Amino acid sequence: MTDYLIVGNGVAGTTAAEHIRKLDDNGNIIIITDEDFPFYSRIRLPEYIANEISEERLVIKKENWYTNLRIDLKLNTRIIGADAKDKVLIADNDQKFSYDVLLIAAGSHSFLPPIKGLERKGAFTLRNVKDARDILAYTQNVQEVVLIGGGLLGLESGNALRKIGKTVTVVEFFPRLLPRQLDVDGAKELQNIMEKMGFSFRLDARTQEIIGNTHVEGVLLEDGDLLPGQMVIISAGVRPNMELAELLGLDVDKGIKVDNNLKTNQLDIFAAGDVAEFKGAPYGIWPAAAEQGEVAGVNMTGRSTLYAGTTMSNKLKVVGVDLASAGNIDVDHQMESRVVKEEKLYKKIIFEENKIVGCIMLGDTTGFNKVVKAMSEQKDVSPIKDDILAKGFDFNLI
Amino acid sequence: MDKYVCSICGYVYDPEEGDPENGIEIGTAFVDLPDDWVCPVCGASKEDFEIEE
Ligand SMILES: Cc1cc2nc3c(=O)[nH]c(=O)nc-3n(C[C@H](O)[C@H](O)[C@H](O)COP(=O)(O)OP(=O)(O)OC[C@H]3O[C@@H](n4cnc5c(N)ncnc54)[C@H](O)[C@@H]3O)c2cc1C
Repeated sequence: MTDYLIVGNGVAGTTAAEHIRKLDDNGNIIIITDEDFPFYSRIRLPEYIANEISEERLVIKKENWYTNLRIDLKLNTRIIGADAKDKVLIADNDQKFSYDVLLIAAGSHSFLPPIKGLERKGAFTLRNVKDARDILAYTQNVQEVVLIGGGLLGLESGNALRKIGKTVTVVEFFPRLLPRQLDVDGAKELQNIMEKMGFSFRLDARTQEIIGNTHVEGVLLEDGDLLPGQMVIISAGVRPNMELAELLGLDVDKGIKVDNNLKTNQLDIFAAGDVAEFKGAPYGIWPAAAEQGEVAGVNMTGRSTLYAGTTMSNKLKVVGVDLASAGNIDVDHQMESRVVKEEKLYKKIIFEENKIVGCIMLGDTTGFNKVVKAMSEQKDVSPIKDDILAKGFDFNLI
Repeated sequence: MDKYVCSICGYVYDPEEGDPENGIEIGTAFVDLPDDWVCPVCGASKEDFEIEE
């Protein structure tokens, strides 16, 4: 009987466990997490902060799912030690877990840039349900919020706080919003739309210090401007949780390096999800973590299935703003593309050798899933290149 | 009956399979799913689904 051990009960770890059980009815499956919650949706944390859903509604797999699949979920347990030779992990409560096959699905954490004043009360990041609880509990005495980082997460958390009546200013050091998802024109249009919703933006701006006494009172920018705010949320990207990889002596770069079996450089140790680096970079998105979790789970049972990569795609989940982008967005307009620009509408499809390699859809995301599918399948789309952005185009023709 | 795809994670709701694990019987049309049903893969709500032709 095989002992399967999984560190991390996010989407990568949970999906792996599910697939292991499908293929191995007898093995012992243990999932370890330092959180106090079964598998839940990080994606919906902003809705929870906006008081739109309860904590229970975040949960994706309830207790009976674990019972039915005979998956042993250890909550509130943090792995702090490891012995790769004896194949044992050690937890902060001194418990020892031995394994035959190990999956590291430890996810990532919020990156904290070196800004002065981060320790003041009222400065937060958002990664897990505990962060969300802390933010929500602190909102009572807050009127103005400053968001550091104008990426997807920053805009979504900002929007959640706007919905509960806070005044929101977003500080971004790039000269445009969503630098990784939008080009200049797209970002400008998005900014217009969001300013009408009540957001303020400070672009091309650097934070000097979070000021205040014990509590946050505002954010000082490098150009000398002071933005008043009783709460600051920093969303400056994420970094993989690599402590375990170091303890085990795994090969790492930006994440834990994995091959197309999701194997690390050590026998019987796999990695998947935000923590894993496949072909040069960790993905940091849910669909990639799910696909990797599946492949890792299958391979952990001794079978062999290959991971071919996931198409990078993102959607902004702000009601009233339809925005999705995928793949190479051709920031410098160097590639072959088709563009439509109208009031509140910006669409761009990027081609390479008659295949779609990227897209931006703002104001109307109809057909986005089909475009992403065509990208993943590397379909030749030459017959419809000139029609694809026409009004009422039937995306089934892709 | 139409299939629906989750725009967040790509999960496809297929009425022929239902979602028995979450109490949805085989043969339940997407429109008949309860309003509080969520994507079993990523937790997205019903509004995040699009029809898959
Ligand atoms: C607010 C928010 C919104 C998001 N929205 C989207 C979106 O719309 N679309 C999208 O694609 N992605 C989104 N993401 C990103 C997405 O959530 C991640 O890509 C995904 O959660 C990665 O899953 P994972 O299983 O790799 O890791 P995680 O979900 O991070 O899970 C890892 C788990 O391991 C635990 N852990 C780590 N180290 C240890 C240890 N030593 N001992 C015990 N436990 C440990 C962690 O506490 C955590 O619970 C969002 C993220 C956030 C925070």
